[in-house]
Amino acid sequence: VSASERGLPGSIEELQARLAEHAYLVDEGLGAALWLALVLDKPLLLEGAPGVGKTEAGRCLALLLDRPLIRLQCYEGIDAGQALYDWDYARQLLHLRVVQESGQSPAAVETELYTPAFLIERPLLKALRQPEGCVVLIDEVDRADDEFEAFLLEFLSEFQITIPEIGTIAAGRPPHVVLTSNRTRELHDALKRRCLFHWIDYPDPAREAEIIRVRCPDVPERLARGVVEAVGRLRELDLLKRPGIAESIDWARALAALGVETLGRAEIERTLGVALKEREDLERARAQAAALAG
Amino acid sequence: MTAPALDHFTGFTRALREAGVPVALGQVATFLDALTRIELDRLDHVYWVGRLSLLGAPAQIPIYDRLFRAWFTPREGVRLGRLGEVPPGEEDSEVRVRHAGAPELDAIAGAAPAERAGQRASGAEILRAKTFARVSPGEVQAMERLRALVAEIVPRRLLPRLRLARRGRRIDMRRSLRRAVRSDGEVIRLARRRRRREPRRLLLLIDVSGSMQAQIRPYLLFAHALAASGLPFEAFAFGTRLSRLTPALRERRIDRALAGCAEAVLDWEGGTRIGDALSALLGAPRFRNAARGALILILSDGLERGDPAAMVAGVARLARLGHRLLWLSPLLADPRYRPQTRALRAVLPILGRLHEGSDLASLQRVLERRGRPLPA
Repeated sequence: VSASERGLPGSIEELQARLAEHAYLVDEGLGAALWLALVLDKPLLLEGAPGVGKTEAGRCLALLLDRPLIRLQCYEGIDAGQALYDWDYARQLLHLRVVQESGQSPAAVETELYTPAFLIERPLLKALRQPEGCVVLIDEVDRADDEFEAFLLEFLSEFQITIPEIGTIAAGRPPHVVLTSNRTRELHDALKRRCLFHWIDYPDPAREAEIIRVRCPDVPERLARGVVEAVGRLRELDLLKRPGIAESIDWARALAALGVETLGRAEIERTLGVALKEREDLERARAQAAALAG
Repeated sequence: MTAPALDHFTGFTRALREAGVPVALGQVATFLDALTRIELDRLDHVYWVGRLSLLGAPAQIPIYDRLFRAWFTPREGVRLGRLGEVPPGEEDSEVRVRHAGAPELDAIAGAAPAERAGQRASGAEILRAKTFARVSPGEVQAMERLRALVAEIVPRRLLPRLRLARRGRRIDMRRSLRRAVRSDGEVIRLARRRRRREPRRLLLLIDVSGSMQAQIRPYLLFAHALAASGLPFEAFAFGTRLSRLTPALRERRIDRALAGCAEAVLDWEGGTRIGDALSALLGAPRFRNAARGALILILSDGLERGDPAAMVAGVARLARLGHRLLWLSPLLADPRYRPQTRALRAVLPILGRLHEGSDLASLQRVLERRGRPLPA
């Protein structure tokens, strides 16, 4: 079945064009990554510096497919109870008491307690139960422990979950999966091998200015270009936290709200806190505010 | 797909592997599958298809780019079709891309090992310059004591994961419910769970500059003892640059581990630029992660030759990232010693105090002084 017959974009360019209609501008690399993930039905692993739009990519896919986006935020210590499913213990206990009151033996109805009615869906189970399929965004997988990665491996290869009391729940339609990582630790090769891998860099200045303009039409073009240039110079400084695209957008929006039309040294000094979030970075950048203004 | 085309694409994946990119068979299959879905005369698309399906780390991208240029420079006048749609009989003219034996590729393939050999050669020179005396039985004993000691005193942290326990703060509902069913729906005893404790990471930063010459050997023995303690561990050496020692120190045989360290460090007994080394450490997310929540030990005399501001900023950030930061200096062996340099005086408020660390015995004393586990 060809891509267009499944309602997918027929080419990378078509995908870029479709996303542009929804104010998402993706470059050729990310466009190719999303397109291949769709036509090959493969999970997509996105790595890159914070703030380059990894999470946005999941939204793009959901938009293209017109399917819900289900997000799983990873953190240290996340486990099956938070990612897959949990039992609704309070309801189970209540049910037991009702059974007891009616004179039946609770042991006889034990199997009743472990039916889907008492199940609490967590993101991954919810994803499997979407009849029309969906997009799963597994965000910041590098924050989770190694064990969790091994467990994802099973989910990603089989698209099913085994619940001891019920059995295996398989996806009616396998979800499309996007994983993101900030590369704070190396992911296992086994996980990487199952995914398409894309490294997202900062966009080139022209594209970034375009992104700002598309996201906040109130920002004059000249200001957008000025912000992008200044952010580009900031990224070249030896900063603890380099500003991402989100920071460029916020900064441009803040400057527009203040009625700034051209970005000069004074404006930079006044509003730098929107783009930089560490005191050391602010000090370092302020010392070079004149150079930043270009 | 035509045979020559297939050969060419699989040959490209082999070349990648030879250049050091670990390409798995499944990835090659994905690559070939993806190629059947695109127009092959769009070299930019071929580029992205390969990059997305064959790589796994940003460091591999420059290698990929180089090889890609060598393998897929289009020949003029060759008609390009779509893979899988090649009319029979036209296959011979379908060699659409310059083939593997091209001199350019040979040059690249030949250049890489030569470069590596060059590095090894200069490493060997340093190895000659830096050799360590064999480890004595007394030192082995001291190291064993250290190993046990550090496992005892390293601070622990609470894990979010729970395990079953007789007494614990959290109730294990799943288990409690099972028990309730057995006792006619009555909850008689709650099953409980508690959080596990795990030792914190250890991060060791060893100054290998000229002024530390006498201490390098005991410091490396110390590092080896910590590496063998089974705790999560990272070690770096710094002088004018930062070198990661962890893999070398994982070697169990101590003499080999020392030789490994000698090879890993390229700037033995040179200058000191602590600030630069610290920003290199903090600038790489993976190394920065080694400092997060860790017990950090810096073994250095703190005689900074570079920018003191950079060193102070680096130490401050390290202290914030880590759980505890201890600075051990050999200069404290002299009771009259007072920190004089600007950099060291500036970091003292962050550190609280300096500790003496001139040899194995004094390092051990610092650990023993604590006697009991540091508070978590």
